[in-house]
Amino acid sequence: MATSELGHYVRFDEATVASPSGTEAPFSTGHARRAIGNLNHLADQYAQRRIAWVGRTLTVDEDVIVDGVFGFLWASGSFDLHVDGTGESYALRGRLRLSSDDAVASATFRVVIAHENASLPELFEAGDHTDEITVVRSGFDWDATSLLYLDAFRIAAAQREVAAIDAVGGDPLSAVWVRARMWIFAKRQSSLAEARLSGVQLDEYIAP
Amino acid sequence: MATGSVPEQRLRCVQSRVGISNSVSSGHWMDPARLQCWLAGRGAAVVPVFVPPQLDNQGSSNAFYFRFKPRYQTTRYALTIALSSFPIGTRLGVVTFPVGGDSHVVPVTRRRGSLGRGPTSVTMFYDVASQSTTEREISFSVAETADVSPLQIESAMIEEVPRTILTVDANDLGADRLAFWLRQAIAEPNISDQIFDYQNNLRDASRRLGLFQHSWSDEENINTTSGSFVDMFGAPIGILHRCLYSGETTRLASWRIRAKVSNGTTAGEVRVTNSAGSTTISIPTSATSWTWLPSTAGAPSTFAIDAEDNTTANGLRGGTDDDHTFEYRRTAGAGSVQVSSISVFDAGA
Repeated sequence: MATSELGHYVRFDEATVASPSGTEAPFSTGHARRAIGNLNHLADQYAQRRIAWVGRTLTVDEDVIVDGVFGFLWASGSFDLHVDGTGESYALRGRLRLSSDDAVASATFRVVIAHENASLPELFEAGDHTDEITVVRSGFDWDATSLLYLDAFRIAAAQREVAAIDAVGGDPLSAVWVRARMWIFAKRQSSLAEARLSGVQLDEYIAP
Repeated sequence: MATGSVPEQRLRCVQSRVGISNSVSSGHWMDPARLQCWLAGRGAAVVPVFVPPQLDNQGSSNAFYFRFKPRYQTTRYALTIALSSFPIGTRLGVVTFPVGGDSHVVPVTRRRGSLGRGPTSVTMFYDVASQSTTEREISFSVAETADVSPLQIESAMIEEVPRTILTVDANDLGADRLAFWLRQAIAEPNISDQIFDYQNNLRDASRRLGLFQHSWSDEENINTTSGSFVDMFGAPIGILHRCLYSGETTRLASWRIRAKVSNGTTAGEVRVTNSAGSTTISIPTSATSWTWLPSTAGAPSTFAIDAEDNTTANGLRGGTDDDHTFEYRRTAGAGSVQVSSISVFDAGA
């Protein structure tokens, strides 16, 4: 279980939680503890699906493709991430649909989550925000990444101010959200292979 | 009217501090009030990043439509889009968000961008006319105006923009954090009315809005004349629902399709298959113009999806994703069945 001690939401009788209550039901320590646990569980399960697509086949887009050298394959647009109490992002469960287009030669894919303005050197730093997957297959199949996340330093680099409004027709205010992107680079073992991508899933998750 | 400020990051409430015979301090309630404001005020992903197939829109435009059940708290939506074109000749695209709304000129690059880090990501906003939880449509269009080479969408996503202040009521679900502050009297009515009594509404608001959202666009819809089911994506995609209750292994997701048939004697259907079985939406002969099905006059269709298992290291239930296959076919007539969008969303508890 994650952050709630029971690992699930506790249903209260609807009359008990009627808002506002005409006659308040007795409110005990047990109610209080369960209510707080519910908040923890709802926050865990408020983990969002950030990326979900399948179908279009993409290959490396470089003027010259060199064996064993990473080239650009795909990048998402910017998206928000939930930030945990530690200052780190929620963990991210990734899944890529990959092919090396050959039964013998391999293709290696590097997936990176970073702030939207990350430079190429930053995108090739080691860390918990990146993973590499090597496949040898003619067709496509889904491969899971390790659980990725942005540490507090990388979250701070990704936070931006956004013009939010708190009421319909209200004046813009400054809110803070995260602008992260996913990048996928790929390299082929030899000219027999071609690195191919045809789907990505990225889901937030609070691990136990 | 009382309000509650929305923090930028969540925290983890320590439940063990609340126990029989333990002294109760205001600190016990500061954290829950803050967490409640975070839950209600931080935005959700309406349309997760999606990538439509290759578009052939030279000198024309494509319109993309989606359905979802909004959260009451949302006052502003953001569309973030990245466009490419190759051979590069089209350097600007026009994006309208929503369809019929404001238009924005967006830079277009080669897929790898000028620096090898991908195309430019641009964000634009749309403000709602009223706050509501009634299921609704959201859309955008992309136009290639230079008539040089087609525009491709490398990434598009729609998110709720976070709030900064919430109203303390049963809709906005804010908690007046100042009422729970240090040295404040611990007033049971505050705890009952602002936290306890809002629990079920908060449960319904804290959803994963977009479970799977895809659009081919009205103009470049997929179509079939096959009487046998045809895979719409050529591959399955995994979807997991949130897990709420003890012992829950599946939850219902809602879905609709945007479809039409080429003439009044043709009919079809779209089927989704996962570990729980198959569910179908029919496309009747009367659907000769683009329409959402099941009709928006009634409820969406629903089907069961595996709920996340929060006892496992990666949340997968039984060690696997719940893969979903979307297929379609013609069931009557001699015309074609056309599908523009599929929307799978969480409509609440």
